[in-house]
Amino acid sequence: MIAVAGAATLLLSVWLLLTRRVDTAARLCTLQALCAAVPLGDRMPAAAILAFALNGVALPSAVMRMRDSPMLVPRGRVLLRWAVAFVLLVVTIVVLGNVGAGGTVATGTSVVLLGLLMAGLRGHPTLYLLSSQNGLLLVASASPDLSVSAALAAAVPLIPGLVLADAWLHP
Amino acid sequence: MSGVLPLIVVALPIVSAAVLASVASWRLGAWINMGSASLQFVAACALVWSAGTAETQLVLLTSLVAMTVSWFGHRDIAALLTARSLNRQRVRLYHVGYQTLIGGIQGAALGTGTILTWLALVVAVAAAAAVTGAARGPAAGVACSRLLVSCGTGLMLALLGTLLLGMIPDLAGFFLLLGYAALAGLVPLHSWIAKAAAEGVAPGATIVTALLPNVPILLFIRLSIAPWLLMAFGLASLLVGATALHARLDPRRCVALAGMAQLGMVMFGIGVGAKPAAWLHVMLLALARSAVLQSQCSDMIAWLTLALLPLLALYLLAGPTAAVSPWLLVPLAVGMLLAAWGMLERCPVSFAADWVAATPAWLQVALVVLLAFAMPGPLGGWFCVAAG
Repeated sequence: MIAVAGAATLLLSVWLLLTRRVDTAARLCTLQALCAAVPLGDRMPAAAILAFALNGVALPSAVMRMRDSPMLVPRGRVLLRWAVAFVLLVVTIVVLGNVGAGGTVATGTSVVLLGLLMAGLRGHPTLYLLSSQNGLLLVASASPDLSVSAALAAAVPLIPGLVLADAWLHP
Repeated sequence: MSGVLPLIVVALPIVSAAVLASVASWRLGAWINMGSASLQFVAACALVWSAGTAETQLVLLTSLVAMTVSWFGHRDIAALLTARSLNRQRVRLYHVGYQTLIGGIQGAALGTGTILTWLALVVAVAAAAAVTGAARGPAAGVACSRLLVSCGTGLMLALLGTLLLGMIPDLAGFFLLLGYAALAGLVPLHSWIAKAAAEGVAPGATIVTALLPNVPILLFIRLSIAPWLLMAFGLASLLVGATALHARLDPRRCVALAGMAQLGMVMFGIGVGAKPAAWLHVMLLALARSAVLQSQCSDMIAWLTLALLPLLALYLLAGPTAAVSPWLLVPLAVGMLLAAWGMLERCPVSFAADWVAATPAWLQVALVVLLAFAMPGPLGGWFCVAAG
């Protein structure tokens, strides 16, 4: 179950790279947040529900409400972006393949890094940072000695929230 | 760190920020800002007296610079109000951001756990964005957005590193280094620092560029990160910063890039095991950067102090570097000389226009000279123990 949820989160992250519409990307983030919250649900159900409520419902809705353009504008060369994303995925999975239950650490780290890469290369960094936050949740769920504070830091999207607030204040 | 004093040092700026949020008059806000910063300095002195660690030394440095900036920076605020670069609401935002930023930095320095430190740095970055974006105009907005995206990316990488610490320590160290280096304005997520220095409100830019980068350096000293990584990232920052100094830039961007290059040296110094020398350089650099920015980049003595600091660092780091590998001295010396030359090329040939600009600058230059060349023996020992 955990491995399936992790794999689905990663697939949604790759799908996010292909998406051109803001509302589609926001819906993908909602699905991704649901998948990422599943592995944490066993150990800390409250943190998992909070993570889904914020990463999957509140922030994607806010992004859809305040979008200034319906399209995600790519920056730089598409081929280069794909090449970097592919290398990143391969390296992460080779290095971290055996760590954590069901390869959750590898998939989580891949999701985080892909999100951060896209936040730098495409418009609407909030959505990609949100995707990274979902990856952090996956990594946190694989941690053997997860504290409540660490779970909350991974569950609450502070950075995507700040970037969204900035986009609202400085349109 | 436990006790009442650390709590006071962190809580005082946060409470002041809450009070400032409800004060409509900008003059009263400026007085509250000054009063609170002075009280924080007193509390920081008491804290250093009770515990002489690197953390408390950083708290003292932060509160000293924050106090001088609050005393002597209010004139800049008045000038910006007259020029309509700020309005009353924006000044209020600036004051709230200023105190929150100080609280965040002090909280991160004194934080007892990695997550608490991370959280305090999130608060500090949010406040730094508020201080930078308080100025009117699209340039300040862009600087604020870039600061948030770059430092936000860094913070997410740092959180990833924190979560991985118990599972894969080596990789965790790499992510922590990459993430927290963004907050120090180091390669590769360094693009925000020059823009924040140039476009933000002048006194706020001093705090953002001279004080915020010190906490990540303290973390690099405390965390166990592979030395070769610190050396590689340090040299990269040094060479990129030193080379960029030779482009045509305005003085505030120059100061930011000089700081980036010199913090690269500091990282390199930590990597070669010269932690006390690196920590001393962090203190000297923060004071020198603050002196130059508070003199509005117009004072020759403050500028020369910042420009010549790399030579002192080269003198201090040459021995430990040669002990690791004599070949490492080549890029280190090239970077340091490039950085010093780049700054000397732009040295102003005048002194600060008036005593308001000159007093804090010269006070801090005097401190730099004292710490660099005439440090009393017990103080030197205290530095070595704290950073060791």
